[in-house]
Amino acid sequence: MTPGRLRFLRVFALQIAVITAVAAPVRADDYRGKTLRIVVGSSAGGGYDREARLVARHLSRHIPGSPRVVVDNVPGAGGLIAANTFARVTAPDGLTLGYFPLGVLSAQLLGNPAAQYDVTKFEMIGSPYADRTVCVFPASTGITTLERWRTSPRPLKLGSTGRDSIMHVFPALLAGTLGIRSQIITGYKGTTEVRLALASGELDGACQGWGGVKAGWPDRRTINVVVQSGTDHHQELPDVPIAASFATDPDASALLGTTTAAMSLGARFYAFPPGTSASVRSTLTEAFLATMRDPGYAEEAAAAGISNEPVAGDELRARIEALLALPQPLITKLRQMLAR
Amino acid sequence: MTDVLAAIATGVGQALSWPALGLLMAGIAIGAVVGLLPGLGGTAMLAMLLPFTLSLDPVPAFALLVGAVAVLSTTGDLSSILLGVPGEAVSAAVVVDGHAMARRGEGGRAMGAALMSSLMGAVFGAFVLAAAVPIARPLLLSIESPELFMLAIVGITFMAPLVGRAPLRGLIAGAGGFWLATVGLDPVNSEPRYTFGSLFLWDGIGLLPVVLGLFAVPEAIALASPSGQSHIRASPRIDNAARGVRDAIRHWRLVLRCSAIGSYIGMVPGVGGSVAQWIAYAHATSGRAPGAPRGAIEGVLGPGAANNSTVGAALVPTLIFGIPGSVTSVVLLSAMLMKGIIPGASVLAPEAHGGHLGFVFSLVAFLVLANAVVVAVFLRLLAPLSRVATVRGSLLFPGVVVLMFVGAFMDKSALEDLLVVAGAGAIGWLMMRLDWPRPPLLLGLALGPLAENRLFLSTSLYGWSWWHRPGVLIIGAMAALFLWRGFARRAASPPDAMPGDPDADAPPSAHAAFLGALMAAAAIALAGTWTFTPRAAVFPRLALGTVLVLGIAQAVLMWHAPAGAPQIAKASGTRPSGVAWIAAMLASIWTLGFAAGAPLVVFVYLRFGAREQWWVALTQAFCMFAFLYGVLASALAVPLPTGMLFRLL
Repeated sequence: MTPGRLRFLRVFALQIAVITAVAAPVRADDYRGKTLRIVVGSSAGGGYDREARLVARHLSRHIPGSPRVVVDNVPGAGGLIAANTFARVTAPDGLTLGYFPLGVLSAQLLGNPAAQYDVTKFEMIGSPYADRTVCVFPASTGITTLERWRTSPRPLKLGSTGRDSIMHVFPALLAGTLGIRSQIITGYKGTTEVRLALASGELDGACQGWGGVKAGWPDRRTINVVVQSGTDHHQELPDVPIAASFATDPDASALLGTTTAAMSLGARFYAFPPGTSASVRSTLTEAFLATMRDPGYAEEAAAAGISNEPVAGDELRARIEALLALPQPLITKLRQMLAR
Repeated sequence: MTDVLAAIATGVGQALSWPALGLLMAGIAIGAVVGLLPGLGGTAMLAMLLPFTLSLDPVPAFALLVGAVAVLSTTGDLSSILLGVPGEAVSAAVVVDGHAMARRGEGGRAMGAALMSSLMGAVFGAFVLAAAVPIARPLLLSIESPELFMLAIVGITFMAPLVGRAPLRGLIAGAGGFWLATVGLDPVNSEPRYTFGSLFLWDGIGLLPVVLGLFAVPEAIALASPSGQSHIRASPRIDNAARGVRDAIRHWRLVLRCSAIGSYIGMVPGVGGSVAQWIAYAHATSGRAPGAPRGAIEGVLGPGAANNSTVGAALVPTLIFGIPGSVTSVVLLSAMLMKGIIPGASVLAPEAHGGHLGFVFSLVAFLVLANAVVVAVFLRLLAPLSRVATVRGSLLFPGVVVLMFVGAFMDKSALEDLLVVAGAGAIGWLMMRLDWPRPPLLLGLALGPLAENRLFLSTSLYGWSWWHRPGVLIIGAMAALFLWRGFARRAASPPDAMPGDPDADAPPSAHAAFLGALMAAAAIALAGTWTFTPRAAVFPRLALGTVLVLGIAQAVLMWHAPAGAPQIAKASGTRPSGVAWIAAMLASIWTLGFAAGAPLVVFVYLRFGAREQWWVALTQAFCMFAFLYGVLASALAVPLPTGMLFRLL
């Protein structure tokens, strides 16, 4: 063997040794020298990505051993690609945390065959806030109340990003339960495109998260918020009626109230892959809650218009399980409404 | 009016004040280095700079960010010329003629021209930003879904006649790109199309791996071929840089036209510099005699100006609608939101009325200043830089291939994208050999989602009556006019292949076989649409129908005008050893991962393929390992995958 070849073999052996040495699971109390990766199930630069990067900047100092925290985007199929990978490939070693959008939850709820995971098996860490769905109309449309919407001479055009999106689900529920009809135009790429279409008059209104509405229309006088989801009034929206309060039968009340509330909570959540140890999970849950309380985080979140009403993993899990355990007739009803 | 003048004064004044100016210089230095280094991209750089801006006021924060972004493509062009490897993805088009000039010993002139045209392009783009902001809002609000659909179509018909000498082939390639864009989940019902049960394909075919495949693979193959290894005898004469600067000024009309192309493409959300550079290249070289050797100064000036002018223009939709015009402006948008600058009409109001007009003019000042500084500095640095250019093609080949695969992987962290590069590379190589223009295919892929989305929204909103809208008719008439001009010019030029033309290199049977295979593939794909729901089938059927109809027209043309020139024996490196080495690299990365697999093939290729010295091969392999493992995996925490072999162990 020539000296050169020997040297090459040595370099090669060193490479392999270095590569294998870096992949060892963590103990719950020691993240020293490790890198915690937050996998975001949507693309860089979007709302979820922005929120995860904000958390990533502050999370490290609340975890024992102060690991480096990085954000990694695995976009596609409404978060399903990330969730499938998470459930089947990602090692439960405490080094990969996922941040998932609503599509991951609704795909399982609505029985999408491509959802090859069980959300209830994910080790829930928490949700930064439960967003509220509201329906808004630009002031120029003159639609100021739910009643005006219902009695509009032509069906109002509401924008949506996809069929699993709350932008489609919520107005479809309003139509199916309260008979408030609209023409749902599905297929916009994002909420910014919907906002643009509202500005040009292409669309009449949209139902979306209150956080996004606040960021998109800093001047509240330019839009009318006519209805909100959930079971109680959002503290910033005391005058906006709750959709469930108009329901006349228990099924409609359940679909408009508890179901939309659980969907709002499941619209953004952090979780570890199935099988992660309980001690790692509780360490990270505490670190997550401490981050949410961190004045630095709170200040930046407020500046960026991101709500800060965290929900810890256990409550999150209970609400999601309740949603997925919806009685079969209700789920069937929900699917029928969405199929229209 | 006085409001606007006051805003200009405060904006520029703030840009020139102390912390901002210092941070601008820091940004320029970082951006210039990242631009020079292939494989380090602008988006990753911005994401890393972002935390440093948190405690800063908006104007100094954007001094750092914009300073870095503005010069990326300027120094990226220099790597394209010197190394033949684009420093940034948006500088890829400069390689073609710029590197050919460097090989002839005209590297100094090419770099001078690239620097000067970059400066002119940047100033143009900044001017577009300043001028467009007040008028863009009413303009963009008059555009609804039908008009956006028509603009996507015009993108193709505007470009097809400009590239190559075959407008019909350009249109076929554009329609093929539209079809390629339909692979994945349809945007409305999330219905899988052409995914063959693969989750990876759900997300569609990415733009970046296709750019790399179509353009970088054929160049890499050329580098590895025997003719690619010829030495550059003359070291680039640096005094020629002044000549390059004069070239840019002499061709000012071309530079301005290409800056306009870059600005237009830059404003269309989601397209940006990677496409604009090729359109500008095609435009700049469209008057060239068929078969003329590569290495014309126009081929440097065009993309050099265009990739800089997109930077400022891409900020127009970002500022007004919060819809980023490019990937880097996505990151800039998040920085704006963090600073409380909410895109929208309020941006246009002066600061006194709660707006950010002065801030916009600060951005304009940064764009101009950053490029002026970097051009002034680098005109003096050309001598040390240019020593790099005397490198053999075989030494560059492995680096180009690895960076190509790393770039494709980093886009979505998906190993499958390496296969997309290989597939697009095979198609790109065939298209190059058979003289099919590649840019329309890329543009079709880029604009396809926009076109389908807006076609669908238009029909949902207005039924088919959208077709009569005045905006639609005007844009349609423009598209028809461009097409008519393209075909008329084609008819006036001498008919077919001339000696030395790439057309003449391949036998007519190869042309017929390629067209036949294309039509067969289109027919199969068309048959596949019958399993889709009607809504999801509309756009792929339109695209494939266009391919088939135009393909028949192309076949008729070929039948009536068989290659007139005598067959030329395959002269230049027809044994593409590069193909085998690219395949070996792919297989090695797949089984051993990036950090182990890539350096291994780099070593084997250099030692046994290119017969370099032991120490040369070992040093390059080690540098590759240091870059992949030390810089990417460790310092930047890029999740480079371990190979299949390690996963099994």
